[in-house]
Amino acid sequence: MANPIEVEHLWEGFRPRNKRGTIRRRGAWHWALTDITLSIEAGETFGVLGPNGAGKTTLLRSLAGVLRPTRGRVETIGRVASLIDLGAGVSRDLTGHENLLIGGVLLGLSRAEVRAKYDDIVAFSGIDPAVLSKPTHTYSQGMALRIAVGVVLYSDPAVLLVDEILAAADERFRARCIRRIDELRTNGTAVVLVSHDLALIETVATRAGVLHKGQFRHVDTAVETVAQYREWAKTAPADAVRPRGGWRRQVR
Amino acid sequence: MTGRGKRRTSELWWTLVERQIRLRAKRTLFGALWPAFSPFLLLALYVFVFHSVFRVPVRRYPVYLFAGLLPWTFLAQTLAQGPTAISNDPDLVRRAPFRYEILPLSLVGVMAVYFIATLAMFVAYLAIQGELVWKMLLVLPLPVIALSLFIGGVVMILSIVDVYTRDVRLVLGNIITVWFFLVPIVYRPAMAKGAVRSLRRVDPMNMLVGVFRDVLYQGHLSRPLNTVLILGICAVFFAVCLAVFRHFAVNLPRDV
Repeated sequence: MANPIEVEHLWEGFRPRNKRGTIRRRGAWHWALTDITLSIEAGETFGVLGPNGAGKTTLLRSLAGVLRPTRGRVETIGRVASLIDLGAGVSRDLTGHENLLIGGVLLGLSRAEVRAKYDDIVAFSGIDPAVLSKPTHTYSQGMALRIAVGVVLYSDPAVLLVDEILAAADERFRARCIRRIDELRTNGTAVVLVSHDLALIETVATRAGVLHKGQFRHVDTAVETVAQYREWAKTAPADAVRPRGGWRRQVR
Repeated sequence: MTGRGKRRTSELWWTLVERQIRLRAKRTLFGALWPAFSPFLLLALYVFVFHSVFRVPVRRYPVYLFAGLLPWTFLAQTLAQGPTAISNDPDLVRRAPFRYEILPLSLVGVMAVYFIATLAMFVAYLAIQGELVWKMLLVLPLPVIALSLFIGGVVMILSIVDVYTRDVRLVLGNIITVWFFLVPIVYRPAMAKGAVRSLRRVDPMNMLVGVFRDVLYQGHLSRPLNTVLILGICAVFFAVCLAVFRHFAVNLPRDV
């Protein structure tokens, strides 16, 4: 059986923009990902490490099907759920219940499916159901995050993409999320976890890769990759994510 | 698109329509009633200006005016918000893959709900006054569908253009004002001469206002074939706009 995630020679490019923010016809493209090939099995957790601007979120967006490959091929099997930009679609004036429904439908669940999973999601988020009938702007950011994460983790995904989102959660909720992700993985979900938390990658991921300047520099077992990344971070030049032409040219 | 894909698209469309209607109702006293009532406020103003002051020679002028003003308000209110239908929700586009035309079309859906509510009030008023030709209610869905398709097409194009250049939203208000006076809404068609009359021949809004007026004011279709023809033209226009939208929407998450 084919793997739930297959990536072959993936390139993701962005067209150049001028100072006013409009897209230019001419000029060099910015390549966020260059020639990525990756295969992730069902029930596997793959960790992605790398400095800011390395292309981690772009990789997740490609796997989520949001970005079409500029070159190459990305194939996923089954429902893809992503914990990226959880604030998208959340309206602060709507109630938690209304936002929960919208979040679920955006993920590809039917309204009936969202209603069927409603109790599980609310129980997972740990929020009093009475509070969910109040506008979201009356909650803390953390509570809004819990609802959004709950919807994603109870959408029965075949592929789960997690982007550093757990960093904003408190310790108890984070532990609950990791338990749920592990449950999903045991049931055959392929998980891609982007994080700067090396200990988390070491404990949760089976394999991991270091992404740098849009390319995988190292892919191995999670323990080995984290060890390599720690070494690399000590010796990496300060300009690891320096823009084309250098910082001075950007400032000017 | 598969059956599941179609169901997902229609559920998402309806969920976004519901979300916008709920959002418009939040932190207001009369909620979603305002957009449904705003055409009546315009009606009062225009009746005063064009009937009482300029004395436009039309029998039952308020009914004549409202039969044209109602579809126009649907168009003008939707177009005014159309350019930002995608630009205002960039995170939504970047979060999950879906048919992006749902965003402008959900706006059309919201405004259509208000339009139909106002239309129902107007029809009820005509019925109470004894001015309604009941059999014309069977024809009424045709111009409503045609108008929705026409507005849907225009809004899709405006929303995708706005992603790449914001100039359209800045000039659109002026275009709508000029367009309003080219369509015979506040005056009789025969009162305009020359170039304006020629321009009207190619303006779908002129034809649509004519059909609405036939149904709600005249009580008979002056050109029955035209009613079917305009529905066909609007359906083709919508299909062309959808194809153009999809062509340019391929890179939307990258460009928005």
